[in-house]
Amino acid sequence: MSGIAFGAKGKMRPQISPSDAQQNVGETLFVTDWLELPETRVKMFRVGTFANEDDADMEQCLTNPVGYENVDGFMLVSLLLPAHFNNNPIGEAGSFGLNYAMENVRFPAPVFLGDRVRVVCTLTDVKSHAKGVLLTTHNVMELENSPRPCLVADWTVLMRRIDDL
Amino acid sequence: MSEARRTVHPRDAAPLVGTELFATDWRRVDRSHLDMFHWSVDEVAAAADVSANADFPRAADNVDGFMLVALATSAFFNNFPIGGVGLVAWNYGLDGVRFPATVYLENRIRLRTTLEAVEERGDGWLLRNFVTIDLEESTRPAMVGAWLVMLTPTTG
Repeated sequence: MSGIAFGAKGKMRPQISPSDAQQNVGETLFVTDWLELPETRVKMFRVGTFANEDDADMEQCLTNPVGYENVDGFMLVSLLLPAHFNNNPIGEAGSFGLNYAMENVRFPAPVFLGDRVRVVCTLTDVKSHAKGVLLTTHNVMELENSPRPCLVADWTVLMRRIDDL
Repeated sequence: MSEARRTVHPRDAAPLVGTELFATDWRRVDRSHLDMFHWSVDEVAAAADVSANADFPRAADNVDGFMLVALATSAFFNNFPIGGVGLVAWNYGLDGVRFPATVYLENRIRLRTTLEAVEERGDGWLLRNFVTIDLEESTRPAMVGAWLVMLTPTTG
């Protein structure tokens, strides 16, 4: 595995309590480092999600002249996990995030093996919820040397407290 | 894998709008595939600061929502009936994705797809598919959402 996704472990510890995050709406929460997407990582994702020759009929992909070199959009979506784990400043001890919703996910530019991407994350909404706090971020995954991003997505996470379970 | 794959060209798909295109068999996500998913996106303690989710109940056995989304790829490869020789499918986007129920390793899930719309776009077709991942013995699904797939000619 080359590189660590979007920054070193522990680079950014949570500094903003979810219940205080309203004041940060509209702010850029973080910009990650650039991450290269090598073949090893992409192949691992395909195997892990059963999207490989052993588990799926890849015929349709084989008709795509760039099929093998193309990085699955759902892998780009999944890379929001380490981007947020390593860089999102909102959180606190005794809380955890539940993947709640995604809206307006688009893949404007295709990504190929070896390309480099980074995530720019903006906090767009904070709402109270019966079980915690809903945090919505607008995430733009930029593609190096491309005028268009490779992913835009609004992601909502429900922050819950362990002592409320 | 379905033997009745991609028998419908997108120009002929309009009558299928509103119908369920396929439902997969029930299956479990096993530990090795979940670990592979985690490693591929560095969602592991060795590479990412996962302490933010250290308090998540049974975090190690939880199947990520994003992994559920990604399982749609193989389900479509194996079962989606719309396509044809000389057409390429592109992942266009997602709308309205929700994760109503939590999935753990021992749970069984299946994926169902209903065609919601077919729209001509230039020399291609944009298909809007409503995807449901059912969770066995649960009244709530594990995931719902619309997956937009663009089909274009291989050349031209």
